[in-house]
Amino acid sequence: MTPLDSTPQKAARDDPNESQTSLRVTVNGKQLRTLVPDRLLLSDFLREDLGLTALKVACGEGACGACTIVIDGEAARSCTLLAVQTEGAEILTLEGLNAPEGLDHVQRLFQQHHALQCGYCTPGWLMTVYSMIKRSIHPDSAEVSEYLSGHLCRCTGYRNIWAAVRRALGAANDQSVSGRE
Amino acid sequence: MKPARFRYVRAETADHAIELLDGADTNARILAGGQSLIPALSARSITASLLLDIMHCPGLNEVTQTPDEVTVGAACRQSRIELSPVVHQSIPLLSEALGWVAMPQVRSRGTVVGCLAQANAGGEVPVVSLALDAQLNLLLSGNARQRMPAGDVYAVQTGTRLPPRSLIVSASFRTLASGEGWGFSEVQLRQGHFALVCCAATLLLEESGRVRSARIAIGGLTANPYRAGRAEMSLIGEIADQDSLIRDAAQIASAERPWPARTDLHATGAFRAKAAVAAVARALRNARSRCSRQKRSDT
Repeated sequence: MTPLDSTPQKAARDDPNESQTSLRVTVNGKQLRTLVPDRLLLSDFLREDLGLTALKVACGEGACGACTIVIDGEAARSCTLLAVQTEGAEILTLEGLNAPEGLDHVQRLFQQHHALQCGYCTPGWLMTVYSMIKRSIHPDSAEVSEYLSGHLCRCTGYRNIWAAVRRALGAANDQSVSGRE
Repeated sequence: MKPARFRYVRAETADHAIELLDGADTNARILAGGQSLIPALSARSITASLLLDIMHCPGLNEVTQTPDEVTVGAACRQSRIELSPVVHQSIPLLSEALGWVAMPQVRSRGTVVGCLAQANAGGEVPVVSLALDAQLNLLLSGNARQRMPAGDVYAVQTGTRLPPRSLIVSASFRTLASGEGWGFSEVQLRQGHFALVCCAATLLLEESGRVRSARIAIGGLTANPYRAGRAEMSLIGEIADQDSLIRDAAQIASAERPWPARTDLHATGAFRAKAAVAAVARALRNARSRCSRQKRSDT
């Protein structure tokens, strides 16, 4: 993958005052070796250098969850990390999940349950659900609300997301359970 | 929301990090998981000249155990420690408290020792460190080593008393005694939000049901956490089953705060002081329910 032509990072690379460090990282199965500005956030590296724009940048402080990706199997924020911190890591973004033929199983469940409206927060949710399935989180466990509390959605009111996630985790029905008191 | 310029170096070893720290200006900082540091740099509420990433240093990503303590290395991420069988078995108070730290998507990157170094107001790990008499294992310039009790580290209204240009290589938490009960309680505005107040408590009972030893540590009420020594003393030798005893101790614990109660956008100091009473009482009741009485013949 080659960096896009006119990005702030490109400008930074041309600035002799900008300190840079080598980075070796695997993104969606592809090994990369590159040089990045030290202060470049991982979210900006993925979006602007690699063109992986499914993840969104909203709060920029780790609160909203729109930039969530999976690093070494665990859901993580990409806006509260520097790109250089992912040396040696394996990164998965939504682009790495999409089946070539279209929506994957969890995405179809989100569609069926109308678990999105504007869609801005959806890529983040999907990456968290991916990591929950990896960890075999039980649909009735208190951990479900812990994971879901890591995302803000300003459209849906969460109920449909909750139902879709429970189905994705293997629940037999869509009935919501109450979260931790 | 982008950080100002700094230089980043991946330290090869802990000694390498200290060497670089020694040669740098005072605005150099250690970087571990970065879950507090990077947002602060992005918001430009702080700046750094140099970030020293210690996550690739050998030896820092270990959990070790002796009969008396469990030691957590500086590169150990919170999600790993939360699920660690050793921690769950020997210091379940830490596992439980980590479940209250931010959210899983943050705990996957943040470190346990980083929480101790950051000393964010309301941070859960410093509170646990006080209840479990933690020792912070420091590396200083000239390869000097020092053990600093958590009680000394936080004995100041804000910030820490950690020596300048030091690296916390690990933190050692006391293993719970046989039969010792523990409790952790937190009041937060919503799940995943910062603690308004939180409390870590332990209780050890005699066979007679009288309290042999107690620990009460409170966070969030004041900028730094504190041990409620007077409240602990009020419990010693008393029968733990009386709920009035626990209610009185909780009142004492909140009132004996060494610094002013914290007021911010989310809660007034007066509200926090009341919430702390509830948190302490709940933590003590949980600790009591987990106690098993010590028989003299116990080995």
